[in-house]
Amino acid sequence: MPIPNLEKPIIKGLIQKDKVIVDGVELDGTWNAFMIERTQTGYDQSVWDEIANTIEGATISLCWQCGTCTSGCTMREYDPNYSPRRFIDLARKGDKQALIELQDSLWRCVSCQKCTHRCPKGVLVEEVVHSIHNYLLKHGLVKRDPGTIFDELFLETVMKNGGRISELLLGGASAKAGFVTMSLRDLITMMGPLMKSGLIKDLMKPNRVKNWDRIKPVLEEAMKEEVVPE
Amino acid sequence: MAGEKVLVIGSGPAGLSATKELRNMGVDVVLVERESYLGGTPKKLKYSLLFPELRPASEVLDPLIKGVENSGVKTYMESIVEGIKEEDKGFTVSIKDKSGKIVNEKVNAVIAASGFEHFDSRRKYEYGYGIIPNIYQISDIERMLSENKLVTTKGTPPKRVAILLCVGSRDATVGNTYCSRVCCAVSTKQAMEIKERVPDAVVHIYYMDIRTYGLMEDKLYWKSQLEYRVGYIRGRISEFMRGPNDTVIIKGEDTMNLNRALVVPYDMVILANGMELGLGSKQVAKTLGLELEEHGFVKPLDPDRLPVQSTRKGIFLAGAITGPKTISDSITEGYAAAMKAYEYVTRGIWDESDFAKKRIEVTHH
Repeated sequence: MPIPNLEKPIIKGLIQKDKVIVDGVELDGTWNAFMIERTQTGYDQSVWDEIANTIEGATISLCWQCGTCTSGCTMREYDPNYSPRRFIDLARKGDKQALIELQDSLWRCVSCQKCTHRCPKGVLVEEVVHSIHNYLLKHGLVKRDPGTIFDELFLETVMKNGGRISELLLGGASAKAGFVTMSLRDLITMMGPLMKSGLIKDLMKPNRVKNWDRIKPVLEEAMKEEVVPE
Repeated sequence: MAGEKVLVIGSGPAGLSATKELRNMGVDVVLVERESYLGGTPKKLKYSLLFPELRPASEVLDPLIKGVENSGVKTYMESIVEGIKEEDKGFTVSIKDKSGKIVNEKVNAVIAASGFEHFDSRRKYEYGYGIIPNIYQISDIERMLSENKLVTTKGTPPKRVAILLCVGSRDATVGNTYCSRVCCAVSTKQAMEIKERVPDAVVHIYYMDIRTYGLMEDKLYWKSQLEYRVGYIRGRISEFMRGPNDTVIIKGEDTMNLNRALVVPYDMVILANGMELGLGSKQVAKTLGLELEEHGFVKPLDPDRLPVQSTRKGIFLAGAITGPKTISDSITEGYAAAMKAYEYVTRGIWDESDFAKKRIEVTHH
């Protein structure tokens, strides 16, 4: 008997054989389908409480699970696992394990605010989703997401290069973080035109922003004051 | 008792039943109606069958209309109440007709039964009503059904129909946080009527909760599934797009089936638009000096004990002016208001309650 589609994600160690003879009896079908345990024991009520007590997540309790947010979501078309409604549901139930499994989706919000604008209950969906992600980050349940890592790299190169991004440094750092892969051949094909046009000079020694020495301390001071999400 | 007179504003189910009862008890009635015919919104929008008994609306309304027409009631058609002045024994009301002519009438009591208006779905721009072809409201579909002209823009009966509930109700983005009470039942009824006409049609109802309350549970909700195979999908549609060949593509989520995105084409989409007080009733409330409650409907003196008395002495309420109501509820309230008004004009009985004066903190959610 074929495995129903719904069951497939919870089955591991699948062996499929058309025909098997056991003790002289002919059998067919799917074998050795060990199912992952489905019992949910990890509901943690404190997740809801903690998120609802943050400024961003205060409106989480209003949600009535209608799905308006997800069905209009921009990100949904690129990532079928991206569902604000589901994130809210799981957070309210306190199903941390399911949220951890969704960590590659959770950070992808592009803040288009369609969900917040359309929500019939006035849930600030975009903020709530961020607060759920922040909760997981704060408790060290998920790895840092590529979005945040890239933001930090970007800022770092801007500060290092006098208020200007260095494509070379940023590219190198991104490659190191595993966002981009570049082969030797790519480098060689890029180098030719760069040398020819003289752009290589700009890349190696980028121009600084005017009065950078005065701007830098201001930025540094501002960054110190930046509110770190709880 | 001689020459007692009551003004009834509105000739919908509530106004008609109140008028009829007052006439039966020997009270003179002045009836003011904005439109050129009696019957109110059910007549205006040409309602088809009524839930839950699935009988033609005319079967219920026509006897009421005939009864009022034959009872010798003084009727002002295409007129509104423009002003009211309190006098020692009742009110003097000025009634303005279409041409602007004003007539004064002396009455002892007033019954405000000016009813509701359907929510205009254009206010939910993402649903594309009025922009995308083949998107209708339940109030449009009633007329199409009663005139037997249920067709898409192609001129053929629809083969795939989606009905979206709670349009303009339970929606903070348009300021209506209440449930309109009848749309679930009306939509279910319309789904069955569509299946009756087009047996091979696919009809899906997109809902958040189905509120076919009370006796309608099996008369509508289960009947639609057991006998007509109407599909219920939990999830609120977020937007509609114009598809090829004049189809409408919905974007939704099946929230019962975790993580199922829905992008589905339909021939026809019906928006179950809810009920609002409407400009007519707002004008009536303002003229009569009635208080509104937190959802924008007219506040009764005591919603439990004295539901048909207003906060102003001598003015009674009936029907959907105090909140979303079914036709049978409105008729009942018309009778109740007539009885209370009769007591008031003949014996001066006016029950008091301080409930409306109490400030009640309402959490909007």
